[in-house]
Amino acid sequence: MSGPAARAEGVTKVYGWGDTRVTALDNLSIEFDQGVFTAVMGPSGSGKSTLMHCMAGLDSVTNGSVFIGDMELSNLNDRQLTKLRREQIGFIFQAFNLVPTLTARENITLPLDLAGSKVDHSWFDSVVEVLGLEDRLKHRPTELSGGQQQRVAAARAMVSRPELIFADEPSGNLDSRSSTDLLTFLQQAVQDHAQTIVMVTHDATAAGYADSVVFLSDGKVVDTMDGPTPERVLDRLKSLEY
Amino acid sequence: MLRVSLKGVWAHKIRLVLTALAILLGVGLITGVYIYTDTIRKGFDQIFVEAYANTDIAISSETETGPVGGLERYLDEGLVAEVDAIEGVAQVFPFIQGQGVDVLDNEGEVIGSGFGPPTFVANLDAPKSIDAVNRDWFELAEGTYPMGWDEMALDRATANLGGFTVGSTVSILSNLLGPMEKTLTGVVTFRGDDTIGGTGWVLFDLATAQEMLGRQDKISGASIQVDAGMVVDEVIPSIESVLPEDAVARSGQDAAEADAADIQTALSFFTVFLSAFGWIALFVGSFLIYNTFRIVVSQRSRELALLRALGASSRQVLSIVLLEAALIGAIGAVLGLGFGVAIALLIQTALPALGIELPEAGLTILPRTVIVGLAAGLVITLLSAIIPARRASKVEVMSALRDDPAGPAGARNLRRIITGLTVFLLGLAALLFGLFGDTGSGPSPVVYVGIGIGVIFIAMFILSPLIAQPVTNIIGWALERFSGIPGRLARRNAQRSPDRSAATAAAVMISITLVALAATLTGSIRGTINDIISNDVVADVTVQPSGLNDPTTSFAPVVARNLADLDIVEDLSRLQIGFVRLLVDGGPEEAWTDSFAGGVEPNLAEFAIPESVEGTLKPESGEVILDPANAEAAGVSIGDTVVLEFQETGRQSFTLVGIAGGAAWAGTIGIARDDWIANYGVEQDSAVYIKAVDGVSAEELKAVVEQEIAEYPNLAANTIEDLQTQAESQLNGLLNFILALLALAVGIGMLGVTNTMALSVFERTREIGLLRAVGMNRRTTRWMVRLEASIVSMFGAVLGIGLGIFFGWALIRALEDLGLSVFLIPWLPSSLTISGVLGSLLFWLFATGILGVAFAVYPARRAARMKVIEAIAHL
Ligand SMILES: Nc1ncnc2c1ncn2[C@@H]1O[C@H](COP(=O)(O)OP(=O)(O)OP(=O)(O)O)[C@@H](O)[C@H]1O
Ligand SMILES: [Mg+2]
Repeated sequence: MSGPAARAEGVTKVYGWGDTRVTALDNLSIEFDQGVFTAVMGPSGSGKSTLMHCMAGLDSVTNGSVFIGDMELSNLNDRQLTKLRREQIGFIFQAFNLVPTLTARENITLPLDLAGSKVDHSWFDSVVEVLGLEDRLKHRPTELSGGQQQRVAAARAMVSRPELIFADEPSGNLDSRSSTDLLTFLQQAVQDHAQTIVMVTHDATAAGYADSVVFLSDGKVVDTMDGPTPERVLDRLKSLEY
Repeated sequence: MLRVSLKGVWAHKIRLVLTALAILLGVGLITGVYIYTDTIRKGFDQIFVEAYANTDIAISSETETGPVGGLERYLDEGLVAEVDAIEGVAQVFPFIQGQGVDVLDNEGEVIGSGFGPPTFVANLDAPKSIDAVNRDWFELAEGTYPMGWDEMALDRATANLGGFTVGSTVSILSNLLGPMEKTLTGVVTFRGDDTIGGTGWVLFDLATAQEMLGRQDKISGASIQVDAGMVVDEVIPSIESVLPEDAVARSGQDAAEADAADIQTALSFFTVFLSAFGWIALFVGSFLIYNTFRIVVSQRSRELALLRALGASSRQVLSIVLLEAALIGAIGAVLGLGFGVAIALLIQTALPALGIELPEAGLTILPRTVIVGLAAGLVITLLSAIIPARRASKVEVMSALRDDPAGPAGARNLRRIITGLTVFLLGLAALLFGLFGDTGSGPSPVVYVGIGIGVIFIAMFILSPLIAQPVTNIIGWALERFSGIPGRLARRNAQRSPDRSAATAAAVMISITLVALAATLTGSIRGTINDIISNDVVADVTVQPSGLNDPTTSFAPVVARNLADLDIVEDLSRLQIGFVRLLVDGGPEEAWTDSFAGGVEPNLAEFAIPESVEGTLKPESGEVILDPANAEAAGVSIGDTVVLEFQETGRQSFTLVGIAGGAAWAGTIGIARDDWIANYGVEQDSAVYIKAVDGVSAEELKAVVEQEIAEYPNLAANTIEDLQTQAESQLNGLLNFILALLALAVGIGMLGVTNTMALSVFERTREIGLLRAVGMNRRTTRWMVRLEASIVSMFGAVLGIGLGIFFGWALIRALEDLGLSVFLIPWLPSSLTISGVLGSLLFWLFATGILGVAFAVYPARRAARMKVIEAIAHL
């Protein structure tokens, strides 16, 4: 596939001032190609979540620029950013993904409802079916298991067919079966629909589902790997003193 | 411990500012009313002390003050000579005082008519000796004392209003004698003030004043000076020996105290009325305070559980929360006292602008005011905090740390229903007892009604979470249809904690209940009046004193005589109304009821149709007609003897010849016109009903009558339609006045919505961040919060309107005896005027919804301004 779906150019993100000053991202540049499933790995505190947030337009950068397609995010106002998040980006958080007052179905269609656009029912049905959520749609989040909740979040990220999906440790809380289901689904989406997915994970097995892996440390990209397998990823992590 | 509390207060400062504000408003209102009324009282006390400064002994008729005014008798002027002859009496200054004269300005309009204080007629005689001053009420500030029939004096305020100076010719209008002109010879002041309480004073020499009042050779009382060296208390018994039974002699000091006490009784209605609104505000505020503490404590339950886990006892946790409440209560109450002073100053400056001037004595802040204000603020805050504090101290350590939901809802609901219904029944019992029971010598029925209503509010507050779900669902559904996704989220949010929504709605409920009650009562009164006017009055035109008056206001009989001479008039009937007391229990402990007596002409029934007639409608001399309620109270039937007590003639017996009622008819008790004149000592009319000859319309007749009464600017000729519009506008005025006073309570209730929404937004920071992350824009975020506020407010309005209608119904049932026959629920505006709309219940339902949006502006803005990423990182 051609051209990056998203890229960061010389991005620096600094939190706090003086003594509490932390450089979470340090002059980092990276490209996420269209139709590619990328895993982001690295030690705790290496800046993975920060990178996700900055790429998805949830947070601003201190220096450098972030592009979604051809659009530079720092040029956008709040309204345009909201529109972008709603239409072009899906986000799966590690936890607390769902609005507790809405049912699973309402949570899934929330971005579409917010945009006032129509739900594509055949697509909705197939997403829900693949994720095995058909008989859970009327439930509230508190009535769902952790794995089901994450799958609902994944369905929400998929249902508006965004160009990009960012997932911050989506399988972090899941048992191996749920986690396998979710990862297979993400992998499938990339293969069948040319979806671009960026996923943070600590788990070498999860990284094995991706097309390529990016390794972060101290806010910098320290390595990349194409066609990863869990074993190779583990080896590399060891060499990064992880 | 104190440190933890202080930190708690500081950490939640924004939320608690709103709580303190509620205390401040409530306490401020109550203390403001106290300060103001104490100030007036002190002013009156000073006036009377100075008024009697040169009076050693005062004679007056014994007064019995009832709800419709005292029955004060006049004394014979002959007493003056008798008293003067008594050993030790130096001088006697007789005085007479009454009402019944209006002063006209140069345009021929009555000065100071309408809502304002009355105009009095009194005598002002030249002092007989240099060192003795005639009753010290007045000082002659300009000119000379009036002498003879053609001269008069005025208080300076009235003189200024009319643009009169000494030497001016002044037109006055006597209720007895009609219009006339007098020469102004003097202007008086009161201790240097131009007016005393805005009342007008028209002053003559004694003989003229007696004639103007129709009380020849009568006096109201006298001031006595004793010879130098005489002891006042030794002279009093010899004076009393010449006085009739119903007159008293008192020392000047006692008389000053008695007069001041009378004024206080007269003012107490005003005081009670104003402070009732203060207590209402504080009551509404206490719901706000309770709710704030509940939410803050539940948000802190993790923190408090952590304290427990670290070894704090449940008593320590309890005292942390209570200490926090005490701190806020104290701060709010102290600020409230300051606010109270401001309110008192505000009333003091606002009332003169409305034409009501009361004596002032510098702000009087009694210890009672400070104690009640501080105690009310503190106690209410502590009481409001106690339930949440207990809940916090009982918290299961692990479940709070784990964020477990509370125990099984079913058991709690059952307990809630039982408690709520028990409390409701208690409140209902108090209410019904107040309305229908015999309160005997205990507190007045109003107290029971007030307590009953308050307790029912609490019951509703306990029960309302049970219906929060369905009601908010319906309101939310409507809003969701209207606004889409923000409406849906708002609806779900309003339902996630029924307790919280209900507690917030409760504060709104109380003020809206009172609004709905006022609207229902005025609506029903309007319905009743329309009913009476359109069904019971068959006259084409009525002539009556214009404006809002008590029914005994009257005018000169010459008016009716002139009207009867008009060719266009087919027939007319005159009605005179005066205060009277009816003996309802002739046993050893006599019981009387205050009422009105009408002097009835035989043809009255052809003009004003009475209801439920039994017997005759044409009382002859010595006969009486009672309305059904009074007949029942006195336990009499036709042929029985009825005892009435009149101001002038005392007890008189009549034979009951008819039972009939209806407001348009003869008041409540009808006697023959000649009997009326004999017992009241004057001939004057309160209303004249007129029928036109065939072929002349009511409007044409009215035009002619108006021409005829042009000299009497205090009279108005009205057709039936006129009467209806007047009743309408008077009721609207009353309703607007009550609504203005309730506005503050509504505001405090709505502040509760602001408070809850601010707390909820804070609590849902993460969720709002998530919504923003998946593409919710700021506008939608704002509307989500505003619409939730709107749903909760409207829930309160639904409860309030329901309760208001119920209370209105109960009150009207209780007031049926007073002739309130129609019960009308004013859902829709009675007219498309502002006042008409303000009286409609549906308007208030929607208005509360809009107020909810308005009062949620601040929390909504906070929600929308949250930085997405910080919101997600929260917690
Ligand atoms: N809001 C913030 N304020 C200050 N510092 C922050 C903030 N958010 C993150 N940091 C710091 O920035 C650095 C990168 O944090 P980030 O959350 O991106 O790490 P991460 O790689 O996602 O770690 P983990 O694997 O533990 O989730 C860390 O040192 C963290 O302490
Ligand atoms: Mg992270």
